[in-house]
Amino acid sequence: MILFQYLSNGLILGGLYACIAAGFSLVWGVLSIINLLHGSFIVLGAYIAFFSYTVLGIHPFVSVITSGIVLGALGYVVQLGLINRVVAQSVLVTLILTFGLELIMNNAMLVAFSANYRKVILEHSLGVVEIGNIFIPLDRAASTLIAFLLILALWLCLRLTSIGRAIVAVRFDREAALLMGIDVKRTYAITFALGGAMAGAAGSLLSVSFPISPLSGPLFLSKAFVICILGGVGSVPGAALGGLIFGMLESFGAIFFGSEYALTLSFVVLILLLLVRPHGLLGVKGF
Amino acid sequence: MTALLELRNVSRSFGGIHAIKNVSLTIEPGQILGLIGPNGAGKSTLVNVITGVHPASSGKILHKGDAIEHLKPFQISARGIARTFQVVQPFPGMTVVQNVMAGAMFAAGISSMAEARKVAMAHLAFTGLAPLAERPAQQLTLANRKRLELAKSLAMDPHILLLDEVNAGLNTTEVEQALDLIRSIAARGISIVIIEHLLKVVTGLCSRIIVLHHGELIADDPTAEVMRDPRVIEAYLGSRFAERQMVRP
Amino acid sequence: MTRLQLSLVLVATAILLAMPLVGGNYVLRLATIMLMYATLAMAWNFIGGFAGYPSFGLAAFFGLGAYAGGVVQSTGVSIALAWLAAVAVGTLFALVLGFILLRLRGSAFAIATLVVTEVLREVTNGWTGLTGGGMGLNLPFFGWSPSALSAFFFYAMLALTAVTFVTTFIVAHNRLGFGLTCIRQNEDAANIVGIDTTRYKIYAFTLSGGFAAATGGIYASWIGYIEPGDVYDVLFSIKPIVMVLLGGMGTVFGPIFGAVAFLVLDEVVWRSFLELNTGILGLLIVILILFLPAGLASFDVRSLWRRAVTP
Repeated sequence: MILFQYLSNGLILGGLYACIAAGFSLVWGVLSIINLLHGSFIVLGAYIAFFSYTVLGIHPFVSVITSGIVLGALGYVVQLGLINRVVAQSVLVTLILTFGLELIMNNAMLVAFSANYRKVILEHSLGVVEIGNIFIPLDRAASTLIAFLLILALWLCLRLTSIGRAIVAVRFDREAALLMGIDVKRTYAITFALGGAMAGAAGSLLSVSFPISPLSGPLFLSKAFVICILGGVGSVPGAALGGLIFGMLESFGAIFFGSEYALTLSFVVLILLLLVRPHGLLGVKGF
Repeated sequence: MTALLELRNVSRSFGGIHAIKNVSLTIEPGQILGLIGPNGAGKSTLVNVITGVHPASSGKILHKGDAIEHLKPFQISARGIARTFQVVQPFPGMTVVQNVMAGAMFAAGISSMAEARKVAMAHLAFTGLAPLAERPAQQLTLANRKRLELAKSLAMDPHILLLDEVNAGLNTTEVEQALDLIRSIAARGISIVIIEHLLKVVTGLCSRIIVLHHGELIADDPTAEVMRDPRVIEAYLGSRFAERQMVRP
Repeated sequence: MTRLQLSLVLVATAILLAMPLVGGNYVLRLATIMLMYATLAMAWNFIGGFAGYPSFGLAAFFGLGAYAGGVVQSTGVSIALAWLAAVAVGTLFALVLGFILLRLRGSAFAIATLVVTEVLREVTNGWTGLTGGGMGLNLPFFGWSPSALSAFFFYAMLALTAVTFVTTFIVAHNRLGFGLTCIRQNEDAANIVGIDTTRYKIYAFTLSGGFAAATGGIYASWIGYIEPGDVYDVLFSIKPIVMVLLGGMGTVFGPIFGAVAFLVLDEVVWRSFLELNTGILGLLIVILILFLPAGLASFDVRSLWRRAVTP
């Protein structure tokens, strides 16, 4: 039945969206910074995958690792060198700073890559499988699977590794973490790096299914924001849940409103949510 | 005669925690009440509920006979119920006189800025802060910040003043000065409820003491009786302390 | 107002009033843009500077005003009515949006206002029947000479800037401005001290939206052709913020000084780098934030600046 097709589409989209939002949510929750560079990080990750494939023949799924490393390093440097200087100041200041940085990065990418949309066309695409009456494009499904694995890895890292637990500690109580001897500055930098890495990875995954251009950056950012509010800021499971819901909304919303209204629709949902449950669906507790 | 402020079976819960349970009490004009209890007893919560910062989960709060439990903080301030914060809350970037003007302009409803400034200066003189009028509030010492908080509350023209641990962090001399100030405020006819840990303050100042324990009101009596009440002694004072306090004239 | 400030205002007014008589079309056009940004900066100053709520949605109201005015104007109605429509729509939208969004604080508020701009752009783009969608909206031309038109729109923008300035001045010197400043410095204390913070914030947000919409309305008529991407551009939200940061938050003259300083820099420095335009803007912003925490007051002209800027 066609309902299941939309469900399947929504699920697949949802995984990718969850990956887009997870890193963003983490940075927001821990540093209280809305990283306006996030959209461009995703785009850069996509370009790394694109060029790795067209020039070197490396499959985008492998590029997930390279873009993760590159964007992670970039995030670390940007945070430590620039953002860290204002991290304690008002929201306005940090937002304007990341906005300025985003302008620079976006402009640089436009000059380097031009605004034309590029598409990764896989020579050996996995094709489409038909289960019941549902068509599942396997490349996209694989992307989503990897996306969920990445989110799981992030979540496990936060729970099990010492640096992960330092991040969680700083998120809940910065002062207490300081008193416990945690190097907050380094923790911030690593968090930002993780955010960047997730963004880069998401970009590589997206490159398989969607065309890339520096122009798409702001749209990813807006969607990541809405997903964070849906799922609860700073929560990785929240981002996963929010991403799934957002994917479903987009998939089903396309039936009634047309896909161009995806953002409008999610924003309306967002507003309703803010009025009813301002801490997101999972609340402050879900981490 | 309707009481000035009356609480009937007021409760407030946060999630599963009952911060205050079934608290009933009345406040008459011209009284100085002590509100004591161990940490976590619900004293600050009670003040927050009265001033509208947290809505009551159940129960009624009547001010001069009108129900106020659903009002917002600014509405309750306008009615003449003012409070100070345990951790002082000034407007850091504004001068001392501007801080006090805020109280006069909004809660007391003075619309002219010039008039508000005059009233503010009068209150600053009363609290001994007049020489510091043009200083930025954030430059004040802790003792002076507490005085500023008092001056700001007085500028709101209250007839009930709730003081939340106004002596925390002050040395002995400063505490004495604060007490003198509180007495002169009471002399103006303002009812005062003072949350305190320093029992010498409470016994020296208050004619009546309310005791909270685990959110419940376990005593509401004249000072001497409270000091003798076995439940209070057990929960809070310790018998040896109570005896020592009773010996003083 | 101090003597210094009053004399500055008088001199500036004299120069501005005389401009169409002595300046060529290019200078006039530049001046009109400067007035436009000065107004936008002052508009943002109500909610961002005084109240301290970092709104990133000025472009939403600017665009809304542009389209409301533009759509009304295309029906053949007089330009004054079109502009009134722009203000009305902008103010109403600000009222409703403010009521919903002002319960959010800090980052959430900032980004929510940013997303509103995107949403309005999407909706405007899709509503082709009303707005012309992606093909844009063409606005009827008067049949006047170019220099007459330039002068007309210059004076129109000047009038708007003057009204915004006077409003800013009044707000800064009465209870509303005082209350907003209290809210900015300590919102909890503001509540306790008797300020109806929700109402005051909505006032500030509505003022900001109304003036931004008015600016958009005049802009649309002036340019003669608008597209969703042109007017719902996040740069119309960001540049005014940078200007106010530069000139002094929550002050009366700060936004104007900041706008002038910014635009002079804009003309002089990076008009020459067309491709790197936004990148260099970004660089300026980064430098401003990292090295000039008090805006232009960070320079040695500090005390003079502060005296000039604070009423």
